[in-house]
Amino acid sequence: MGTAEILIVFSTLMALIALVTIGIDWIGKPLKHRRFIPRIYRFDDEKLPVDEYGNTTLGNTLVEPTYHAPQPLLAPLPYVQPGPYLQPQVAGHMPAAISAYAPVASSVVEIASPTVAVPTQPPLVEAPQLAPVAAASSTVSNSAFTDSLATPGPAASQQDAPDEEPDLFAHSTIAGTSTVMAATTAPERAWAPGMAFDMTIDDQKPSLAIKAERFWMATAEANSNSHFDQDDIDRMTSGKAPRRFNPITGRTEAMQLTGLRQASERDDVRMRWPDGSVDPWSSS
Amino acid sequence: MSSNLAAAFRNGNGRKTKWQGEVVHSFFHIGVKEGDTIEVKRLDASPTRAQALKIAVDKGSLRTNGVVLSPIAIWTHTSPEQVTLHVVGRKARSIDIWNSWSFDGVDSSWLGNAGMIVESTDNVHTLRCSDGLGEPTFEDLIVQLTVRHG
Repeated sequence: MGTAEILIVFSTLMALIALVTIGIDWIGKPLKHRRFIPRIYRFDDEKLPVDEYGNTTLGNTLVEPTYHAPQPLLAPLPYVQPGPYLQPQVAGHMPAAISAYAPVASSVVEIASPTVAVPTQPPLVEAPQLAPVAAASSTVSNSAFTDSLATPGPAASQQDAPDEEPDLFAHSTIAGTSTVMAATTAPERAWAPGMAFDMTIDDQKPSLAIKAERFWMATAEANSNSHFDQDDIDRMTSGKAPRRFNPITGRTEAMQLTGLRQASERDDVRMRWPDGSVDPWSSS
Repeated sequence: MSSNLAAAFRNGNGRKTKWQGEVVHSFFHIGVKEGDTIEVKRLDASPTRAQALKIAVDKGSLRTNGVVLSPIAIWTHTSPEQVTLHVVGRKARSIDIWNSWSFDGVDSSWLGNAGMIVESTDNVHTLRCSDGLGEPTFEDLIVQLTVRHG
């Protein structure tokens, strides 16, 4: 067998392998994303109970629980930490006694000692005021766990005064549970120039387009007195890139941004016009 | 009446406009061919911010400092005062020249009151450039271009 024949056989084999690979990939793509897993591929503990008609019976058992808890005489409450918050984090687990107070944003439930159950409605006291920094941070994001910088209000100071023990729980609150958080309105949570570009709002990470918008809004203020004319300043104020007319191409070009994906501040981003010019002496 | 030179270029033909009786160019066009050399001599430049002269060859490149590029930027803070550019490319027909400046770390052109007043005598062209900031002052960059046909 000559060299040419070997090459032909080899290339034919390679082409066949490539075709098979493409075929597998093409067939496998819809399979990869499908949600239904055939029964034969399920483990025993994954198989749902089926009645004689072939319908799953798991839903019925969930709807009709066999165990009924006895009605408690006292309104049960979970252990509530003393501190500047009103609602438990998970709204679905909120007992009726607390949920009745939920709309009252400017008040908190005072619980002097961490009891498991309280007999009556707890008295309302004035909500402690958050420090401005803490208020800003709580409006910035209601995700995860944040350090509370709450300055204790009169109620809290009264509460702390008698025993004078350091209350560890008062300084660790869960974001989204404070009364201030509940009272926060939408405009307060909006991004404003001067804040970080990657600031999350309602647990939503900003997209690249939103980050670019924020960058231009921040840049509009910094470039109020520059070579940009009023049209460009207006565009930047509304979150759009400035433009220029390129007389060589006869087209309008928008300014481009580099490094926006990783950036959180204005200095992290580099602006540039679409110009491919190179300085031959820059590296020498 | 346009508010600045950039608006005047945009509202006109894009290449030229009149300012206080003088013709101001947004870019300058010179016919060249392969083998031509362009000598660029910087006569004066504003120390306020870095200025540059940019040159692009239509269907060709420029060879200088051991590299072949197009467009090239001759910046005041990096390049020598006098440079020689060689036109490369069989199809090279012309070069476009315009001025640029660095503001806030951004290399910009054709903004605000940017423009050039060109005085030509035979193959020698003197370009008096204004950057886009402030009123038009055609002393931000002054260069002399001499085209030698090969």
